[in-house]
Amino acid sequence: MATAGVLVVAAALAFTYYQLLKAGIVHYGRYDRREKGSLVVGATAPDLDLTMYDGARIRLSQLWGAQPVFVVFGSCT
Amino acid sequence: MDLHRIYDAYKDRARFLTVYISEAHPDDEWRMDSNREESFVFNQPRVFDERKALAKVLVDRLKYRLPVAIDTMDNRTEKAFAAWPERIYILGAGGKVLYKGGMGPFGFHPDEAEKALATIVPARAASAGSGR
Repeated sequence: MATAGVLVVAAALAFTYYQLLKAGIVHYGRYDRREKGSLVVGATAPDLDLTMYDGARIRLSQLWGAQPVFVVFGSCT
Repeated sequence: MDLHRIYDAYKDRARFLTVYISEAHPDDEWRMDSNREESFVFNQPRVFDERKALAKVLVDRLKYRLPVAIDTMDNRTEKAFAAWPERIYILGAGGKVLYKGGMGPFGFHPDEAEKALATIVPARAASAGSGR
């Protein structure tokens, strides 16, 4: 009886571990850099400089002004 | 693509910028089978030219048309905006944050950002018109 109980618990743990592994949480969790961030609606965004795809330099403050700026962050993957 | 549709609809009334940041699922970090299936197999760029080459994949292979800037290799912009892996903001005059989209991938909703932009743009047009 006790053996059966141990087996059930072991199976449950193995299943949970497998699910976490499959979701990438066990193995890849250290690469998860998601954060909520302190920049909230109403706050002022930092004025950073960036290089455009064509090599031109740009400061964010060159964009914000009369028109709103729609900024998308992302990567290929 | 939603972003192209939004860009085409609003590019005369809003500025658009894409910031190419660090990879979400490079092959040498958090590998995703879905990227392998679509042959998006890239390692995390270590130098600026490598990141720029991946931005070129976005532009050439995915036919991405929004203006693209490339983040510095210390990921300064990504960190300042808590932008990884993907996120949308709308900034107003002086850099005031008017809209902050959810954290990607599950909170990344261009449609929601478009609704926010729609509420911002007409208000500006109306105030510009009232001054005449």
